[in-house]
Amino acid sequence: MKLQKIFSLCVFILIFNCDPLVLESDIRILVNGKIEDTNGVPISNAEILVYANKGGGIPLPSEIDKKILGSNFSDAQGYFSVTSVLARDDQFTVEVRANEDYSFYVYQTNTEEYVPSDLVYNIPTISLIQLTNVNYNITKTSTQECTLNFNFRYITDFCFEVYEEETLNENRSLCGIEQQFGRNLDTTDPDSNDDFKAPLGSIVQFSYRINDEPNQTETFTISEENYVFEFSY
Amino acid sequence: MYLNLAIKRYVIILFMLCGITSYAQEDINEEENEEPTDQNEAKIENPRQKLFVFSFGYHNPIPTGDNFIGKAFSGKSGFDVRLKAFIYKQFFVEYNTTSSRFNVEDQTLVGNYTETRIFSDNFLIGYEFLPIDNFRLGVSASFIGKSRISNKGFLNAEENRQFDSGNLRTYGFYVSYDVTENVSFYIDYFYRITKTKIDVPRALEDFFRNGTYHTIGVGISLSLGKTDVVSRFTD
Repeated sequence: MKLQKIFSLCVFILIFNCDPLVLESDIRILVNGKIEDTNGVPISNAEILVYANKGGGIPLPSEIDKKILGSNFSDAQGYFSVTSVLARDDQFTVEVRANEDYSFYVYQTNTEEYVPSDLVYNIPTISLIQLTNVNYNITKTSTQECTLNFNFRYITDFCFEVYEEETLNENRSLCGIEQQFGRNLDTTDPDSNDDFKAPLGSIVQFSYRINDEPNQTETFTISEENYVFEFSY
Repeated sequence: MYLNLAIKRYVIILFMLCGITSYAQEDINEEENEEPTDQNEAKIENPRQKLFVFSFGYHNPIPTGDNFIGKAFSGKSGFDVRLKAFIYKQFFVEYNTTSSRFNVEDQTLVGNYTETRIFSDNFLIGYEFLPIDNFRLGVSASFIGKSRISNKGFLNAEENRQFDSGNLRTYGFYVSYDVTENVSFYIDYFYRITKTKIDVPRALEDFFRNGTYHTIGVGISLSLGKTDVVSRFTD
């Protein structure tokens, strides 16, 4: 009977994480910063979320893992100031999102180990990159039976920075990294038309292989909004 | 220090014991002195004198001022329990425990929670006027008071509560109407100032230093005893 109780307790502890989020009593912090685009133009009305991400994924947790503690919007000059409750969390996060035409930014620090003595987190000026749609149309024009394997490689739409105390840890940060996706086309599914978001002015690498021929690579610069990429094989 | 539950219990038990004792004593006195004499007529100077009053009331909290309560909250509801002892004639001391609920209307000012409850305990001193038959007008101010502020409703963290605390000062008045000798109804008004202990960045100090709100309430009072505390021992 006693063993049964101990077993039940262990199961309970495993199911309900016994390391709950700690919200500090009698304390408020400020998170200050400025948001602008790559040309130095302030971005207004961007949403800033301050949340604890204990147990959530990185760089971005799912929405239900974001224990939101404070929020606000940037003003006309791009400045923001968020009043927030403080949680002791090794993934204490500040997320900055303008509209979908801009990249988003994530600041993460460990408040279990360090909280500024003045209770102010001053985030260095955040530069959001303008994004645009890349519409691609891949069309089969050849009358012969063939297959196409293609892949797009481009710059991600987010910047994730990890600060230890007040110093950027570049090794743990993820900014300007590449991401990719691809597909296989064949006679039953010969064409592909879709889009993705990538930074305006960035270079996209398009790789493809027709049948068993060697891999070919093309690059193009996203020089305008709603860029259209055409390819036929 | 925050008034803990044990102290609250002691205060309530003390009031109850005193009340029961005084009530019992008066019953005995009434039995012993069925025939009024010149001596006891002189003793009862004020037939409307009370010894203890227990009150239970509902109030509506109304945030005010340029501070975190005044700017970020809207009032919802509240309850209070009062135990009052008339020390000398119409001078009284009172223990008062209160719970006031608020909705958070502007989370950008205080943090992302949706609801706040302020629990407070305070001791007041006051004076009760007896302007006309059946009516009483009391004024009071607190001299010791503590507030505990419970914040809840964090998005995706419903199980989490965050607490703030502070010292409380209250100033107010009430008007009550005696329905019977021992039962009365009242309306009251209080201005409540919580001087918080919240540690904040310099830029937020003024905003979080004090939280202020009014309460307007109604309630019922039950009284015991017909002489004040001092007279009980001196006469």
